[in-house]
Order: sequence, then structure tokens, then C-alpha cells
Amino acid sequence: MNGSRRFLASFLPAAALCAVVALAALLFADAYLAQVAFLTGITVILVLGESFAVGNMGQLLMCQAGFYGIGAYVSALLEMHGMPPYLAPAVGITCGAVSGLVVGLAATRIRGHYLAIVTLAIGVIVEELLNNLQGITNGPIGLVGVPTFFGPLNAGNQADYIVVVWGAVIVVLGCLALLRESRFGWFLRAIRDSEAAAESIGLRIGTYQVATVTVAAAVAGLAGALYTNYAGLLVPDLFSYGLSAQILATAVLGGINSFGGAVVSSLVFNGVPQMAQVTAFYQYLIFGVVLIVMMQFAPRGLSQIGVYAVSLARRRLLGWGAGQPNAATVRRP
Amino acid sequence: MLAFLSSLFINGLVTGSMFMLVALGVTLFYGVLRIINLAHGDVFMVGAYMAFYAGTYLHLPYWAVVIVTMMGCAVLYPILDLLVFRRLRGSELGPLITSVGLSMALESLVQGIFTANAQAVPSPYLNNLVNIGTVSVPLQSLLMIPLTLVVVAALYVFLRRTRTGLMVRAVAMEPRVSQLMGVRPEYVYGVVFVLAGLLVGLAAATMAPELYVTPTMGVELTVDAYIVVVIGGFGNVEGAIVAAFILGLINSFVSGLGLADWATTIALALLVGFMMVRPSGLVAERLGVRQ
Repeated sequence: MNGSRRFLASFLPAAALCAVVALAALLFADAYLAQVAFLTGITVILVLGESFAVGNMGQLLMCQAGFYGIGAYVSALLEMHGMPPYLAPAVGITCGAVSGLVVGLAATRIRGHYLAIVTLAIGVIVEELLNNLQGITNGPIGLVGVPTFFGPLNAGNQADYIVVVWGAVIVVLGCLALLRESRFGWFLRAIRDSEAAAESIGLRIGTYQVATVTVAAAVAGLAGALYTNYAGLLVPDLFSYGLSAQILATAVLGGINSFGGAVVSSLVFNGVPQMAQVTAFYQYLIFGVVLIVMMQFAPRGLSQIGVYAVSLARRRLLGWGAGQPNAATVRRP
Repeated sequence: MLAFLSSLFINGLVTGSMFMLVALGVTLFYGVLRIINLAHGDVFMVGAYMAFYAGTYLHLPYWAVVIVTMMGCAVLYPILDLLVFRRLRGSELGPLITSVGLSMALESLVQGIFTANAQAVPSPYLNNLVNIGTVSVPLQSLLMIPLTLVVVAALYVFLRRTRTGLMVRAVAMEPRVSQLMGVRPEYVYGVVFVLAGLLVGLAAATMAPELYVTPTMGVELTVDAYIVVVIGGFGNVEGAIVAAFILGLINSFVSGLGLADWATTIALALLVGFMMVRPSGLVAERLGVRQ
């Protein structure tokens, strides 16, 4: 397969799924479901950023909620001082990218366990700063009365909100798929698979890591800006370590570096529980238990199960590929 | 002024003792199994609820509460290992991700059983004030310091002077070679989980009466434990002991300056700074590497 076909193969299925979800939400959603559809879209964006970073870089980022918070607060503050809302996404992306750049530069030489711990710490620092810089963020009470795109969500404007967020999802998907299939993405995976080999062909590992953290952060910042312009209210608790953990968990459950998997797992583990109005308590419990079980038996998540199911169905129903077992189903000796 | 400073100092020692008991488990996990366990603070939380249950519902005397909690955690941890970590040996980031799930599951399970309301653990020593010079401190807090010293001494003797301790150090240093010498790594891993359980159980039983017990209390403690472990050096027992008291004193004095809100931020900034400048920690030796 050449580059553009590979791009389409990773972009189209996930984008089509998003389009179907958005369309279903446009056609059938009442006010509550529209709200769920919007929030799920935000989750998908956050999870996509995390999934891209973890999957291609092979490192865990545990501060997506922090970048999300920075994007949200900065665009909210600027809007409260008169910036028009349609600039918010650009502001969110910029703030996220800048903070990702700072974090990436600080952690250029840190990898593996250490990077996970450092980013966890940075995420908690952001949450603490949002709480403590009371002169700017209004502390734990939060920012009230932030301008929104189309006013409070109601039957009249719910379609606009859904189009904006799911449109953003598809744009993000396209950008990440382009990056993944570009030279940059291949170099990243080379570094992930063997740092020594990648260094020996002249790749600067630190630079690629900084760039990936920046991309993931920019994506989270965009999600923050979109969320602000829907909610109109921000409190630091929204951007806690718990959210970073959930984003990581959703990305892992979907299958690291599988865009389709990321979308499906956001729908299954965030959208559906909200639709069914499951309390946060059960949602958390299901999350934890499913994550533990999945890591034991299918560490590459829903996408691994999907690949397995497809190959099984092919063999059973059509007798295809009987001689060539799928890589995902074979254990290495 | 002196009274104020010395009360801050004692307070720092007490907090440091708690950090140390929790962080020792984390550093043992890293030193021996090479895993990051982000659910350690949540096991502390479960221990605190064990103490709450034993004290409030079973009406056990306080010394029995301590023993029950320690035993409970020492039994709970190997079970969690079996269910959660056993299949992921050798994976670098797998156990870390799984421990995130474990932390969510433990929090929500405990919330399901005991509700999210804050609970108080009874202790007879909470209202006994002891006067040291001009400072009066609750006996409960003071209890922490000698108990911790005893435990650290016992851990030290165990690691340095017993056969099993030697095995633990051997696996920490060279898992493969120690296998050739007839050490079963799984046995050693079991020992580490029991040890971590005992330590965190003791911390939970002694600190729970002073804190309010809630299902989410563990997260903060996990973060504190990792600050300690980073400053002390990953997998380094001596480093963790020193770093725990440093962090305890920093926390206490920062709060004393009226900046209690900033204590966590400062400690976390310290973590990030250490990681950037000196990732091996204050004392650059791993468990088992030193003779």
C-alpha cells in the first residue's frame, strides 16, 4: 500500500463512524442526548490525542486533562475580555501546543515509567494552579458566565453544537491520520520500537518526543476551547487527574494507535453510560474492572478483539485465510 | 516562636513517617518488580476503611485494629497481585495502566460499600495531649514516630540480615542470575507484596484516626508517595526514608507559612525538577546494588 491509501485506510473507517454517530445525533437526539453527543465528541478528541501519542511514541502521557484545562481556561478568560468565540478553537490549539512544547522540552530526556510520573505530576500541578491562582481563575468557585458559541444548548441550536464538535472530531482524525502515515509517524514508530536503532540512523529522539507531546497537547487544548464555549462554566475539578486517568483508560481500551478503536471505546465507555444515565459511580466501576480484565486478556484493546472477530468470521464463514493466521491471533513463541 | 517552629517540626516528622510507610511499598515495587503501581494509595484507603470497620462496627480495641488492618492489607495485596499484575510480568507500561484501572475499581467498590461520606476512625489516643516542652501534641501523632522507627529497623534487618531478604535483594539486582541460584522470583514478588501490604496497613491504621476516611483519599497519597520515591531515587529504600522526612517537613513548614494551598504544588515542582536534573534521586543506588 502506498502512503495515500494507508492514510485513507486509517482515516475513512473512523471518520465514517463519526459521521454516522453525528448524523444519528442530528436526526434523533432530544436535548439530553444532544448534550451526551456533544460531550462524547469532546471525549473522542481527547482520547484521539492520547491514543496517537501513546500508540506512536510508546510513552504514556498522564496530563491530557491539564492541557485540556489550559485550553479551556485561556480561551474562557480571553472571551470574557471580549474575544469573539469563533477564535476560541485557534486559541485553544495554540495554548495547548505551547504548554505541550514546554512540557516536552522539560521532559526531553525522560522516558518510560519516568515520563508517566512526570506528566502525572504536571497534570496535578495544573489542577492545583487552577485552584490556587485565585486572582486569575477565581479558584475552586470557577469561572461563571463564559460566552458560548450559540447560547445555552436547546432544541434550536443543538444541531449547531453537534456539527461543530463532530466536525472538529473529523478534522482532528484527518490531521492525526496524516501525521501517522507521514514520514514523521514512521520515524516515531521506529523510535518506539528501538531507540538504539533509530538513533543509529540519525533520528533525534528528544525532538520527536517533544513534537508528539505538542501535538497531543494541541488536540487537548482544542477540546478545552470547544468545551468552554458549550458549558459557559469552568471549575478546576473538571480537569483533575481522574480525567487524565479516564482518557488514558479509554485510549487503551480502544486499542492503542487505532483511531476506530478510540472512537468506539469513547462511545461505549463514555457515551453509552451517559445515555443510559448510569451514575458516575457505576461508570467508574465498569471502567476499572473492564480495564483490568482487558489488560489481562487483550492488551491491545477493542481493536484487537475486532481484528480477531473479523478473522474468525472470515475463516468460519468464507474459509478465507485459513492458511495465514492473523498476526493478532498468534502468540509469538 | 520556638514553640511554633517545634510544633511544625514534630508535625513534619509525623507526616514524613506516614509518607515513608506508603512510599517504601512503592519503592520496593519498583526496585524488585520494576512496576509503577498507581493504586498503592488506594490500598491505603482500603486499609483505612478496614480500620474504620474494625473500630466502629466490630468495636475492637485500638491495638487489635492496627493488627487487623496490617493483616488485612498483607492478605489483600497478594490477592490483587494474582488478579491484576501476575499476568503482566516483564511488561513495562502494562502494570502501570492496569493499576490505573485497579485504582478506579477499588475507589468505586469502597464507595459502593461505605458511601462517599467522610468517616471517622475511633482511637483512644486522639484526645490525649502530650506536652513536649511548650508544645502539646496528640498522642496519636506521636505514636507514629516510634512505630515507624521500629518498622524501618525491622525492614532493614529483614533485607540485610535474613535469607529471604537476601533473595529480595538478589532479585532486585539480577532477576535472571538469581533464578540460576535457585531463587524463585514469584516467591520474592509475593514477599514484596506482603511487605508493602504490612507497611501500608500500618500507615492506614495509625493515620486514619487523624484523617477523615473517604474513598478518594488514596489519590493524593499516591502522588505524595511518588514525590518521595522520585526525590529518593526509584527503588531506593534509604533514599525513600530520607526523602519522606524531607517532604514531610517541607509540607509542614510551607503550611506553617500560611501557604497550605501551595504545599502540593511546591512538592510536585520538586518532583519535576528532580526528574529533569537528577533522575536517579538524592542517593543514586538501587535496592540491592549496595552491599
